[in-house]
Amino acid sequence: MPSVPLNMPKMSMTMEEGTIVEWQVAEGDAVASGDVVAIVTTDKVDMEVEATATGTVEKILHASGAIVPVGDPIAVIESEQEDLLGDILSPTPTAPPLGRVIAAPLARKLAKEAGIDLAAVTPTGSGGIIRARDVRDVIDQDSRTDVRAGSTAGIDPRVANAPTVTSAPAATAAMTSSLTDGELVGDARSRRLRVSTAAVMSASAAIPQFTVERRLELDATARARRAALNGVGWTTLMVRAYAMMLRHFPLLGGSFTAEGVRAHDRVGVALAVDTPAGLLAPVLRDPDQQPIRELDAAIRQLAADARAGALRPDSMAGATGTVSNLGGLGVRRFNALLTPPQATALSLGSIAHRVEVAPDGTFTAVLGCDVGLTVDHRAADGADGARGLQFLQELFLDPLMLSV
Amino acid sequence: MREMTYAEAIREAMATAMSKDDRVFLMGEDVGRYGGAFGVQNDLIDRFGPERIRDTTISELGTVGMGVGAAICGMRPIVEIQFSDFTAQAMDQIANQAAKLHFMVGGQAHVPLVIRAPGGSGTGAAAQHSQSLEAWFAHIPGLKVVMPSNATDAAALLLAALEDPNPVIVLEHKLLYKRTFQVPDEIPPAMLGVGHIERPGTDLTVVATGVEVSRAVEAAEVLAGEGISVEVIDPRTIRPLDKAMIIDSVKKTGRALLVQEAVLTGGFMSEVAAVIAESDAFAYLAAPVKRLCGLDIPIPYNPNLEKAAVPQVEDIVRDARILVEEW
Repeated sequence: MPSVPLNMPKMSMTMEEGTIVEWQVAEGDAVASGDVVAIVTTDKVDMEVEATATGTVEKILHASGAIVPVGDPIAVIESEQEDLLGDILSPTPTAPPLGRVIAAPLARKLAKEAGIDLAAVTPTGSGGIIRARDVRDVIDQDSRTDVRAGSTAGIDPRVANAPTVTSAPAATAAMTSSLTDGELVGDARSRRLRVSTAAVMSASAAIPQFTVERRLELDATARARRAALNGVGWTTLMVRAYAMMLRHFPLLGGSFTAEGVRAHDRVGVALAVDTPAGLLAPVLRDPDQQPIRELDAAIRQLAADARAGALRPDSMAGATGTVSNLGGLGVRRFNALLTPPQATALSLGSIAHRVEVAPDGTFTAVLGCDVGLTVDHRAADGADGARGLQFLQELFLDPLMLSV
Repeated sequence: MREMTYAEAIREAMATAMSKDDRVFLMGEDVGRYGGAFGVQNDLIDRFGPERIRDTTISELGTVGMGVGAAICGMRPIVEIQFSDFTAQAMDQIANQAAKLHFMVGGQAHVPLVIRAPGGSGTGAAAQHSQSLEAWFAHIPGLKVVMPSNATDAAALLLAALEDPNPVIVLEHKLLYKRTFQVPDEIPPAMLGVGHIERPGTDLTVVATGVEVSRAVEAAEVLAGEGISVEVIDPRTIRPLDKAMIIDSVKKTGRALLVQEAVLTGGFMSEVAAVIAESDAFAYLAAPVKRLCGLDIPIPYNPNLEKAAVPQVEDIVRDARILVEEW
C-alpha cells in the first residue's frame, strides 16, 4: 500500500507557513479523504486541514505548535487506494459549504430577539432552510441549551455568540466570575488571538510613534449621506476617506525600511473588528477605488464574517493602514497603536453633536468625530500627520468627493 | 337585510344616483331598450328616459371621449363598456385623456367620469371577452380602480365613485351579476381605498380580488375544518390600495397567498407581493410570498379548460396547506 504525504496546504495567496494548532487524529487512526485531521492557523485565521487520501495515519511529522513551511509534509497517510486514478474518476460528493445560514425572515427575527445563533439551529425546511418553527423549537427547549447566548441584557450584541457570555449582564458576570487564580482566560482560540496580538504589539512598541488628533466636522457629510451617498454607513465613509489619504500621501501610505520609506502601489485598509474571540483586522483592498455602495456592502460582509469566524486567510493580508472605531462603545477619543509595517493607524471616537463657538460669538451644535492619526515617526513627521487630517477634513466638507 | 343580485344592486345604485343628482346619466352599448348585455340596466330606460339612459354606437373610444367631455362640462357620466376587454378600443381616452387632463391643465378641470366594465372568465365567452385587465388600469396614475366582489360593495363603491371628482373605473365581474347576496336595506356609505377583512384568521393571509374573494372565503372554511386559520382580505379598490391592512395582516400571520383571476405575469398581485416585501412585514415572513393567479394563457373556450385556467377553491386550499404545513 502506498504512503501518501500530507503537506502543509497553501490557504491564501500570501501564506508562506502555518502553525499546527492541534492534531485531531493520532498515529494509527483510520481516516477518509476529506476528514479533518488537523487545525492550522495563519494570519490569525484557523483553517482545517483535510486528509487527501483514505487510509491510516502512518506518521505525524510535526507536533502541535510547530511552524511548517507551505508544501512541506506534516504527516504520512498509508493509503488503501491501490489505484489513485480511482480517486480522480469518482468525484467526491461533498457540497461546497454555503457562505451563510439560510433562514426564513421570521426565523431570523425570532432568533435575533431570543439571542439564538442561527448557525446552531437545525434546519428542517426543504433545501436546508431554517423555518420559524425550527427556531421556536429551540426557544421552547429549556434555556440551558448552549445555543442560547442569552445576551439580551448584555451591552454589546456583537458578543452575542461568545460561549463565555452568560445570561447575566456583563458587569454581573464579571463579579460572579468563577475563574481560579492563574487559570487561563478564554477558550483556546481567543488565547491564540491574544498571543498573536501580543507579538504584533510588542513589535509595534519598538517603533517611535505619535498621534495627532483633530475633530472632524461632519455636518456637510451628514446632509449628503442620506441622498447623494446612498445612506452608506459612517465607517464606510471613514474607511474611504482614510484610503484616499493613504493614496495621496506616499509617506503615510508607505512602509519604513532601513533604506527609507518604500511606497505601496495599493491601499489596504485593515478594519479592526471586535469578535467573540478577540480583535481581528480583515483587510479591504483599494477601498478608495470601489463604488461606495459596494464598499459599504463589502464592509458589512467582512465584519459579519469576522464575527462569525468565517474569514478567509487571504482577507487578513495586504494592509497598508488600520482603522479602529470605538465610538459605538461610547469612547470619545483614543489613540490606536501601529501594526508594523503600516505607517499609520486611524482611531475613531463617537460621532456626536458638540457645542462650538462660531466666529461671531454665537453657539452652534456641530456634528463631529474626534479622530486620531497615529504615525510611524521614522516614516513621517507631525506636520505630515496634520496635513493628512486636514485632507480628511476637506473630504468631509465636500462629501461628493467620497462617492466617486 | 334583503336578498338581491349583484346586477340588481348596481341598477339600484345607478337609479339612486340619478334620482338624487340630475347630472348623473348613463351611456353604453345596448344599455337602453335592450336593458344591458347582462341585464344590469333592465327597465332603467322606462324610469329615466332615453336622454339619461343613452344607447351608443359600437365605438368605445367615442363613447368614453363623450364621457370625458361631459364630465369636464360638469356632468356626472357613467359609461358602460360591455366587456372590459373592449377598453382596449378606448384606451387613449381612458389613459391619456380622462386620467391626465386634470394635470395637463394645471388643475383647472376635473374629470368626474365613472366607467363600468365587466371582466373575468367563466361564462364561455372565450379569449376576447374573458380577460381580467385590472393591472392595466392600476398602472395609470390619475385613475382609480375598483373591483367589487359582492352586491353591497358593487352598489356602495359605485356611489362612492360617482362622488369622486376624478375618473374611476369599476371592474365588475360577469359571473357575479346573477349571484344573490344579503344586502343591507340601506346601502352603507363607502370610501375608495379601504379594504375589507372578509374573514379574520391567524395562520395565513389570503388577499383576493373580484370573483376570487368568495372562492377564498370558501377555501378558508374548508381549511378551518383542518385547523388552519385563514384571514381573507378583499382590497375592494386596488388603486388606491389599502396597503396598511395587508401589511398588518401579514405581520400577524407571517404568510401571504395572493389570489387573482388575471394572468400571473405582470399582474396586480405581483404589486401586492412587492408591497409586502418592501414593508416591515418582511421580517415577519415565515414563508415565501405566494401568488396564485390565472395561467399565462388566453382564456380557453372549452369549459373544462376555462375553469382550469384560473384559481378555483381547491387550488387555494392546496396552496394554503403548503404554505402553512411546509413552513
